[in-house]
Amino acid sequence: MVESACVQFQGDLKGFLLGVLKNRDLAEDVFQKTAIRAMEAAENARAATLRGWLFQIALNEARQLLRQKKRDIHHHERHAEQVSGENAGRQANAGGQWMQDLGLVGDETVKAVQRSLIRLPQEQQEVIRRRIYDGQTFAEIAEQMQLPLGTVLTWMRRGLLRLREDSQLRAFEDDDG
Amino acid sequence: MSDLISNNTDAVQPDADDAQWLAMRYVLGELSDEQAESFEAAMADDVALCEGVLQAILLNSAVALAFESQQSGRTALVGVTSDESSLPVVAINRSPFARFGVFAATAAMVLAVLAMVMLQNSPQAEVLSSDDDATADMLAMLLDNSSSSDLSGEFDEFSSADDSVSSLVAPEWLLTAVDLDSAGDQNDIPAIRPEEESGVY
Repeated sequence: MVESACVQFQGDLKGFLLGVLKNRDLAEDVFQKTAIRAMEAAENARAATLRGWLFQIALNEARQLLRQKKRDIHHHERHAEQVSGENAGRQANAGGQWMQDLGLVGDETVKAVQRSLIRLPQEQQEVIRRRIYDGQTFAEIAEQMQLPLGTVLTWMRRGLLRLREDSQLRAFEDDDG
Repeated sequence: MSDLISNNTDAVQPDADDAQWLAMRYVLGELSDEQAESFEAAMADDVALCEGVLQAILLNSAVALAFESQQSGRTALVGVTSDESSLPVVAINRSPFARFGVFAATAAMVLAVLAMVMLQNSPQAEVLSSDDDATADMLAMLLDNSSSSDLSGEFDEFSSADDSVSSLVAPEWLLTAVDLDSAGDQNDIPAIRPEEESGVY
């Protein structure tokens, strides 16, 4: 049961780990550890909560890795560089392709997002593009667009909220899910 | 999997919206170390936050891919446009003006050919043709006369790049040739000689 669940939910778990670790290779490694740990503790698994249980194991493994890296100064600096600012955005872009390869983000979803983005106000499109596609930090965006940081954050938040609320995107997400 | 995107349609729920926004900022690496650790600790107690992180990374990925696709689409469009412009396209859908232009150019060429034919058949053309024949005769005579002289020296003399008036002085062999020609025909204007008209030389 646990083994098949690891296979069934591997996409979701890898996506979640990418969100925590901001690095595809690390996410792959931690997923392997998660699967091994889950099979070792299979007697504690409950069918009704299996997915959440796997997420908790994955989170524990990821946090353990992060703590380990923070203890190592060199790794900590390297990791800090990876997750900071522009690099975080680039990791997100690279992760996008990975999510597509894993089948978590389908072509229809991407098209739906494109259509939804066009309907957003120009300033919200601009902030979302700079932050997610160009990998700029909110502070850099605020500086370059000569806007208060709060305004940039508000535009980003409103834009993402409207994307999530878009009926077409919601329908495609349901299909993908 | 897609609860936070698909099922959270109630935008007035401040807690859910805040959690989604927090998850997005966490995924984007916009939280401080302390905030990130607090969020991770909260995830350990609330699986819904883990789902929020997954939804955030999926939305992030979809948006990145959408922009990526938009960029590549523009590039492809530019490529298609340039390809079209480089194609050796025959005018399939020409405008009426273009068709008229082609017709007018063809008609002008036909008229020009007809005019040339008519000119050749006119008496003036025969005079001109006789002039050409006379020139040919003179050149043949010149060749005969020059066979006994030093051609290379004459060539050097003729081709020397000299703009002075002296270079325009006719050489002696040319004067001789003109004298010979004028001796055969005293008229200044070369006329049609009977033997030329009949083609007998």
